[in-house]
Amino acid sequence: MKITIDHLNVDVEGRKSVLDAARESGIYIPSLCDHPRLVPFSGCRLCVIEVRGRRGVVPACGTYAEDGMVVVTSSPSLQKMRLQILDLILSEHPSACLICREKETCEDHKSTIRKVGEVTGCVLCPNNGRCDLQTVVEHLKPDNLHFPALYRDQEIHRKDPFFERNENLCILCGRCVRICHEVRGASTLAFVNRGSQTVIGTALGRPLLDSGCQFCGACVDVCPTGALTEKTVKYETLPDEKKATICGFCSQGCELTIHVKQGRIQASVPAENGPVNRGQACVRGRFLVRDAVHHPRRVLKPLVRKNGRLEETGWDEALGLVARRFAATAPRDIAVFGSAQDPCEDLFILRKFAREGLKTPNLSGVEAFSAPARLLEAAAEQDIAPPLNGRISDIAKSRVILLFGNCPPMVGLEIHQAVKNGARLIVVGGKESPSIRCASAWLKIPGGKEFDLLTGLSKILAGDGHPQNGSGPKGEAEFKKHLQEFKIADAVASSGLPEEKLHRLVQLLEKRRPAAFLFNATFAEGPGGKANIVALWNLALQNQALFIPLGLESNVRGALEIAAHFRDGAPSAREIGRSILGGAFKALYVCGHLPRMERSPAEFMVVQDSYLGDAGEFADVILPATTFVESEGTFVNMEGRLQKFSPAIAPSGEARPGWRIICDLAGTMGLPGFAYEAASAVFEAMAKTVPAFRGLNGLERKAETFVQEPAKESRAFAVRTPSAEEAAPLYEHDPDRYKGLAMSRDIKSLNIVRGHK
Amino acid sequence: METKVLTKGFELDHLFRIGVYLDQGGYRAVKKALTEWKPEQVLDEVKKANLRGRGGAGFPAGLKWSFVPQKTDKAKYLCVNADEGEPGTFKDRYIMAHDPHLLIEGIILAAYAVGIHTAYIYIRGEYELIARRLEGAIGDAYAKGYLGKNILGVGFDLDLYVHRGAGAYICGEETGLLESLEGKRGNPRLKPPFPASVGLFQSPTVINNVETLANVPFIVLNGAAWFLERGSPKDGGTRIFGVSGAVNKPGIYELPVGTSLREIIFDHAGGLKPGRTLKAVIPGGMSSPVFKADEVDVKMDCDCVAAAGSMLGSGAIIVIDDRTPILDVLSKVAKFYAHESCGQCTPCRLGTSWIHKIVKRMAAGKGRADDVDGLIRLSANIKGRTLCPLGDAAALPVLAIAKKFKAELQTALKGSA
Repeated sequence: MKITIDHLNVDVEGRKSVLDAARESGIYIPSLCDHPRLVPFSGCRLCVIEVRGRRGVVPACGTYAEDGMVVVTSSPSLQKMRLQILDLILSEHPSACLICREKETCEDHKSTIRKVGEVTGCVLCPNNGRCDLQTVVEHLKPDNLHFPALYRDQEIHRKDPFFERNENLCILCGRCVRICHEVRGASTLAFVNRGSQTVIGTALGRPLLDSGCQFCGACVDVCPTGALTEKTVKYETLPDEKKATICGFCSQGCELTIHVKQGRIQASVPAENGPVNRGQACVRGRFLVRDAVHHPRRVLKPLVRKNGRLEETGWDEALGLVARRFAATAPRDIAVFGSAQDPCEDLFILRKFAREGLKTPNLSGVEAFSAPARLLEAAAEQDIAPPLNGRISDIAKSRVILLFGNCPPMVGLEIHQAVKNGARLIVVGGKESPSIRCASAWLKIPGGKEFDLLTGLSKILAGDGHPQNGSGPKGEAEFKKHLQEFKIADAVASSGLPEEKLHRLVQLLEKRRPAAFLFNATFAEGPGGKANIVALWNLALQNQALFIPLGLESNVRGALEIAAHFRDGAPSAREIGRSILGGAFKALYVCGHLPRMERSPAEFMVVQDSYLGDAGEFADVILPATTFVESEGTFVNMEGRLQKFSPAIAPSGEARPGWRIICDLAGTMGLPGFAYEAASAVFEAMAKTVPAFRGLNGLERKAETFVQEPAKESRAFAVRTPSAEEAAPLYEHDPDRYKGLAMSRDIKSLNIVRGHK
Repeated sequence: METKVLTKGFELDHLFRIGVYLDQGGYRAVKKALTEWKPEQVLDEVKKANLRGRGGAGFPAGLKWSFVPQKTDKAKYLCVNADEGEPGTFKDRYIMAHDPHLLIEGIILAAYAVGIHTAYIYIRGEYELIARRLEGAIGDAYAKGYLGKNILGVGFDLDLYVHRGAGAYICGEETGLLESLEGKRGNPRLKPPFPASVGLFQSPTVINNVETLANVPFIVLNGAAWFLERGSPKDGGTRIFGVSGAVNKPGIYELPVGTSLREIIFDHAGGLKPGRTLKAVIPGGMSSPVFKADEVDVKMDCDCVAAAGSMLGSGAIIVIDDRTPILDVLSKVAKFYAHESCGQCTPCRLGTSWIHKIVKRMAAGKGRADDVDGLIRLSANIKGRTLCPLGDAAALPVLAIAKKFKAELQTALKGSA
């Protein structure tokens, strides 16, 4: 459709506000309350425009483009109107500086007088130039204020971690309230009181910690003034540069923008156009990157144990020691344990080094204990090929969602969107989490015991009908026979739900399609895990549901693909993992975190980590690795999305990228085939050999890239009895862990949030 | 011609009891419409009758109903606006207190005409007794089969609920009312979409004033022509004018639409109290621009009052005598709207607050020479620029008072200086 904005012909596609259409055509209309992710609010009234054929003025943010519309956005009368409205806005915001004639010369002297209790002008504002109101003032250029500024004189809320709330600077655009409600589903912030007494607050004025706040920081990011400011950034000058990276804390792969100041991280904010997170992040990505990367537990130089104590040393000495000890140990006595939080390049080199350099079959890693790994194991036994590249964004389109355990925050946002659009969420097991708030039901069945419930649902869903001749998925007849033998009474007994409720669940599944089934490691681990997966897979097949295993660590998926390539007849990674903890090997090379142990699991243990973590307690050598912010590489997120990232800052101390450490070690040991120049060269080698990466270009960031899946028939019921299982889960996945750093313990602010009940 | 239609039965004792109401021929309109007429006929008759909204905006009711889509997957809703928040207005409370079944009958007819099966009466929180009386009447109507499933055996269902407000003027604005009814903060919504397409719970919704709906049974019983005879050609029926202020007989007066304002004040309401003369009249609730004493020869129908520069609004006539300083009136107006602005949009939130501040300082004898002009400038900046009609409601009376009584206000300023 075509519309005319200020004599400019503009093509508009789809339903779009005049404000958005103008923005895309490079026409600036002042606005303070509008935000691309939010429903129009039309509160500030600065975006008033004239539309031919309509009476008076209308807000551009809440007026949708119609074919043939003729719009005027900047006539002298409109500008005058905006100035009058701005005049009012500035009367509730300390603003003397905005029209001060000494403004420009004042810039030079700001830094000396900034930290004050009361903000009376921009010179004293904690947000220091990060201000949309300033932009509007610069555009409209008021030369005089007709009203004195009214200071609200409200106490600044300082008790909560991460950010402060200063209602005295608030212009009531409502962006924070709306993002908290519409996008995050937390509804922690709200308007309190009315008229000119209106402020933004919490229920009963309690601190955010008591008000269901998840500290995602979305409100801080949308605040147009200094009313919401990050504590560590307030009064700081603007960053020297902004660099893009992919968050390494979990499997969703949110794109972050790192604000760099004098070589250090000033802040990390979610990228507006991040393909997965679209401007959103969680408490970890938003507030903890800086603290984690510059943490005092960082290992800055190689450490070697001498007389029982770890002492700093040079790389040559450390690598020489490791090389000597490994060379003196038989290959079958050496084991390697990988992290799933390292980029693909590190994981590839680690496994290549183990198989081709050390020639040991003993390879394991965190990924082996993840939900997708368990799914792949079950799939191999059942001869089915479940798709793994399920899109997170498809969850929002579902009409019923079964969530087993807890989910990562961005998945939670998609679930919230689905529920807002009318979907029902049923949560099974898991801990108290934000998603529970939008759930229709929370079935507190202990993890690992869902098999009977799921099979019961399958039985009810299948009814008494006989399978149609050959048209159904493979194994349908056999599956139905299984169901006939199954007794609903068993489902009732083990789930503790009355039979009537099972029928209600099936009705939900039948009436509401498409469905999405999501499960985490708690559901998939333990004695009944594999049986659970099989039962859920069959139910998903019956109901044509989206089926997504929720891996947790940032590169679980990449690690699984790389590990599968190097398996080559070796014992399973799970078995090796158990043996490692059981002390079956003489020498260990561990990346990142190992579960806490009573005594050293090996005679000689090397830990490659960015932190002095739990594994370091027994380490003989610690090799300092870079964090994701300091290195170049690729992560594969939970939906198979390949995402490259570049270093935002230089490595701390003498830390080196993981792949480089191993290549240097291989070089010290005199092993051929490890002379890589850069991470990109490692990726190229990987793209030549590992099937899932074949033909992919790790450098290309423009197009969306996904790792490849085997094109196998996936429409088949799982009908074989799952193999016997070991007892307890081995590895406890903690979303707040980054390598050796337990953030909920080692970072005070997160400790406060997690510990607060 | 007998002019009392709606208020005719008010003198009867216990009309609110369904037995008395039925004895008076109650629910005949429902019987007639549901058993003899198709829904479209009810709609057509109301359209022909030119029944205009009695809440304030004066929008034709039949036209409003016809905006609701006939075919939709969603439930449709009827919301009765019984918030009666406009200062000076006290007519709906009489209808609901004396004759609740008349309202219920009107609701049933409107619901039948539009194909609605769920209706809510949103009543202002202060009307606690009336709310209870309404709930009693609704219970009786259910018991007699005028509400609930399969009404009168014709297969039409209607459920009716009473919802009490919590004391915010903004919740009388139709979209603020919807938000409040949904359990949210009563902020207005952005229009379009209009409630007829996206209203309560995102569904098509009709919102009518109590008095508007109370007229519908008479239109159904007596026909559109009868109704038009009683009012103006483009504005049918009678209206309940609520007269308050310095008159001898304040109260409600049901008169034909189009009765002159002078006649209402001097004939029906008994003129001004002894020894006083007329200074000004607010003709349609506090948000309508004021008339000076020489402007009261105006016919009280929507179009004529609009042509005279004000609005008929809710038909609440506030009479101001010569002993009342206009600054006092202005103070009340300014205070009310500053207190009731919801705070969502800038011009209303801050404009009303600044008007109040300026008027306060004028009243305290600390006014400045350009304050009257300041008030005119401020209210002109609010007018037409706000999210919902509350902004206009606040700006128009201030603008009118400041312009028409500028001399008096200036004198007051000088006197204080």
